[in-house]
Amino acid sequence: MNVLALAFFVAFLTIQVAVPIVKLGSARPARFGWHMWTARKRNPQFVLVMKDGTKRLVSLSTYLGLSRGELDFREAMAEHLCRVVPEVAAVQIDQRDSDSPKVYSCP
Amino acid sequence: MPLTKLLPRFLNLRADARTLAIARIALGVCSLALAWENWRILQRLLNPMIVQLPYFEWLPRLTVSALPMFIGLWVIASAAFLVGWESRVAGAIITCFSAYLLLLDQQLYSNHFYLFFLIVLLLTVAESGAALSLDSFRRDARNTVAGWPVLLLMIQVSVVYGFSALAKLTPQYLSGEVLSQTLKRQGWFVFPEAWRTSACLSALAISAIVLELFIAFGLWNKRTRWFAVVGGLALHAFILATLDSSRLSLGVFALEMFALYPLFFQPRHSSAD
Repeated sequence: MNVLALAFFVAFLTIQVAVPIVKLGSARPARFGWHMWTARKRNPQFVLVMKDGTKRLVSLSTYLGLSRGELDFREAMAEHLCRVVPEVAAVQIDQRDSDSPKVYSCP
Repeated sequence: MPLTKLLPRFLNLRADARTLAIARIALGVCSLALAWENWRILQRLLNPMIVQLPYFEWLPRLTVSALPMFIGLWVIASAAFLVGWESRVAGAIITCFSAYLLLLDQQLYSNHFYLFFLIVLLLTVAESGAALSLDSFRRDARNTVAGWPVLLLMIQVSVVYGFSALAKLTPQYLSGEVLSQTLKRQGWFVFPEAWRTSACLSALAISAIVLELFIAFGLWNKRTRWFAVVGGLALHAFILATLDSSRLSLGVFALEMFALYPLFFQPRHSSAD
């Protein structure tokens, strides 16, 4: 029992301290690092490129459960939009903080 | 002192059962609030139109039809944990449910929910039902419990405040830019527009970091302990009143931290009951 208790104590303490130390090297905010209110990120913008060539701006609140700064949902969201929206040829992802938008072609 | 003598002494450390029970009761309240919060979030997240961001594809996904039962069980376990009825079983159920949700989808992560999981895990291990509980009425009530899980809970408090402060040491935060975006602009308590100058916000940002570091270390010292508690109350009151975020989430986060403050005031016991 004592060995178990000691193992639990050491393991918990190590994770408790080591994970936030590692996360200090990550971009803010990072999960599991106690980065509360350390940064506020803007969500990328998604534009649907339809098969007829027209473009439609995506309202993220329709497809995203919760918006959090730690989340990188760009690729998953592009795949999801291709799946749930009919007649989509590609999804354009505007990063906002970079000049060139990325284009994800629907399979 | 040799390790062979130090380890048994460390494992025989005792902690006050009542202060731990206070933490259990407060976390029981948090658990009920989180059941409500997760009910609302999961109803939305399980909609097929919402993107799924699982950590592990192999983890079975909760279905909409199973959601009422999942939340119902969570509420029953929370109530049992609060009143201290089969506290360890109730705590284990809440711990497992929280872990499942944290792993289910990346959108379910939040710092207050992750902290909740860690605290309930430690309270379950720490025999938090040994006092002020139905368990203690039915069986023999105890004045003390094992001290090492309580020590982990106390360290957790310092880890949260300490790393939160260190993570804020960025040019963006120190300039007050982050605060200018996170302070709410509408509602019943709004940070005055006239004070939203870069100098004022920068001073506020530095003060927040200093205060968090002070609480992280001040709670451990007898002379500074009460000042740290007052600082913690002020910090959370400010966060609750001024930040642009869910009041429920901010309230749960504050209660989780306050629940652990009494642990720093307990009488120390060096031997078993």
